[in-house]
Amino acid sequence: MKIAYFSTLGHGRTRQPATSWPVPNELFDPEQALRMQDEYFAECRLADEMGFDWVSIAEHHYSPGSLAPSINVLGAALAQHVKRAKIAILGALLPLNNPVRVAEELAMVDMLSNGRLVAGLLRGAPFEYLVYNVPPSESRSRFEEAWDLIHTAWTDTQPFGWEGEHYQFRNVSIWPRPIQQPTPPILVSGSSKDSGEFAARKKVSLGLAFTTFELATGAAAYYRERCDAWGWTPTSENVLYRCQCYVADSDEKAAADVQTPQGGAAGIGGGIANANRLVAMSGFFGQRDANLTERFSTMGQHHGPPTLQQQIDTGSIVCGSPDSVAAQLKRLCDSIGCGVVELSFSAPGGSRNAKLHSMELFATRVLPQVRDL
Amino acid sequence: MIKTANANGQKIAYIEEGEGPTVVFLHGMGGAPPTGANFVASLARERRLLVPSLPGWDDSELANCATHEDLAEVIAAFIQGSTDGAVDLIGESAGSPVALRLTINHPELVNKLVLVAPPVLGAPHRPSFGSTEELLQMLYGDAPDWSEPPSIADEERRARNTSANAQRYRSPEATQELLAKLPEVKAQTLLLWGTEDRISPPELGAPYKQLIPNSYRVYVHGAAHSLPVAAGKRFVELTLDFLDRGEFFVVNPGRE
Repeated sequence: MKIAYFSTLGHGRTRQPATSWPVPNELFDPEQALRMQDEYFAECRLADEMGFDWVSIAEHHYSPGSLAPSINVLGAALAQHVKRAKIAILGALLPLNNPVRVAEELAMVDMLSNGRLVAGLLRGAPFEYLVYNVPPSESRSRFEEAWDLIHTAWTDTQPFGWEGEHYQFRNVSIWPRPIQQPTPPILVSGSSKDSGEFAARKKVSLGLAFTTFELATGAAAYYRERCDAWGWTPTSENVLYRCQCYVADSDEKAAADVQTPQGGAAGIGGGIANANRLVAMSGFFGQRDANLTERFSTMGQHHGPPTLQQQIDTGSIVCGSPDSVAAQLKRLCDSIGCGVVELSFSAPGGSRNAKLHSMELFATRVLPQVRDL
Repeated sequence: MIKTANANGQKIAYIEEGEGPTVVFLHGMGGAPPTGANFVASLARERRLLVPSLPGWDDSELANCATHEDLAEVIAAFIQGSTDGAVDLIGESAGSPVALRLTINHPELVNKLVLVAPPVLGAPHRPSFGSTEELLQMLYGDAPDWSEPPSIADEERRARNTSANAQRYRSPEATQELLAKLPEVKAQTLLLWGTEDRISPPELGAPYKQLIPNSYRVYVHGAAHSLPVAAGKRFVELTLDFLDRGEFFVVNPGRE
């Protein structure tokens, strides 16, 4: 099993609680942002030195939760700090961006990292569609066309033009081309059936995030079934599962720590849930994925916050002592068949020390147990 | 209405529609476009469109034609008999080698050249067509631009044309020779492929772009092989924009 260390370059606590989304940027503190940036890169370097296989990042907008809306810019910077691990951009949100620009920038990151890029080509969460005024109902078709355009830009070696439903270009001939030929490893998100079918058809890896253990197991099985129909067999490393992670010296200590209220951007969850609801109900998911529309439309409305055990059971977090976390990862691997797990390391109560200790415990006592899964 | 002309002593059947600068469209292996194809009327709104059936196709006499070069000479005579000067020339699929030969051998007759899904040159490729339904899907895709699907008569004509002509022009030597001659094309050339074309896969079309000096290549996303039918509106818009603006085709003209 390969482990991706996921972390966001966040702003941290704001001087007043952020309670909505988009978050007013009057709360932005330049000095704090620079301090957090230093800490962020130091943690990524540490993850690299500790033996994590990938260091991964993701595009998000309009909140102190992420100061990296232009994710490829961060990827380029990260490539200078992280010397060994793969730089996994999970990912660039295709329908929101100029696909030719995405192809160029990702190829640059592949070059700047000496061929260590893993390229996540994603649609993004529903709420991101309120950022650049992209119609949610066009998300799927924009994504698929952008994907084709980016792939062509990476692999076609003569200048070409593009006439599509959403994108028109008369001159495309990107420099650099990716260092990894013909393309960097590509991953698309696959919680929906349409996405799983797409990944299978394009013969690329599947990423499962913001989902549950049960749904991910079904989505991975569907992906393998469709890969078989398209005439190829994915390996376990073609399936990535993402969840949160917190490791402490004992199960009891871990449970006590994660009960501490989160700092940073935790207060904007309701705002994001509402934005997700608006976009989900505006045609973001296709007919085949009506269940996802329902899920995003009602998220956070009917239930209180889940208990830690519920979070562990549903696979949204691996948490506990090193042995417990290893056992939980083995369960994920056995059921979902994921050969890559992307872990977002929690910092209970905003405690950086607790996060660093968790990373160290993971690297020294969990990694050796899961490496050969 | 189908007309006939005499070209080098051969009877050539052709369709003529519209007024304005002349555009000659050379069809693919199936012969003249299906009667319901919308692109014919769309092009004819802006141009005088001539669609001759190549010798041996539809009601045009084969006579002694045996090579693309022979076909090109007859069409050159057809053009000379139909207009006073040069024309814009479109070659679709199997019509592309004829259009290329004509452009190379008679540069004075061709203003601009458009090649649509030209056959693979310089790489082994033999598409398999399967059933008739699969072939129609490969030709026209999911959303063909036609006022009505091809009639039974259209389909019988397509099958007859293919059966009569498919083997006649498959000479590897001729293919290699044409490849070597591509740098001699003087006309500005637009190369069009549908990204879903499995008959002339776009990824195998690079030699055209590499070797034709003043060429522009555009992929039409999601379109199948018979681009004028499979993506008629985009085919007509791209073609007219190229014919109107030439090398300025690559510049976004902004809102009018």
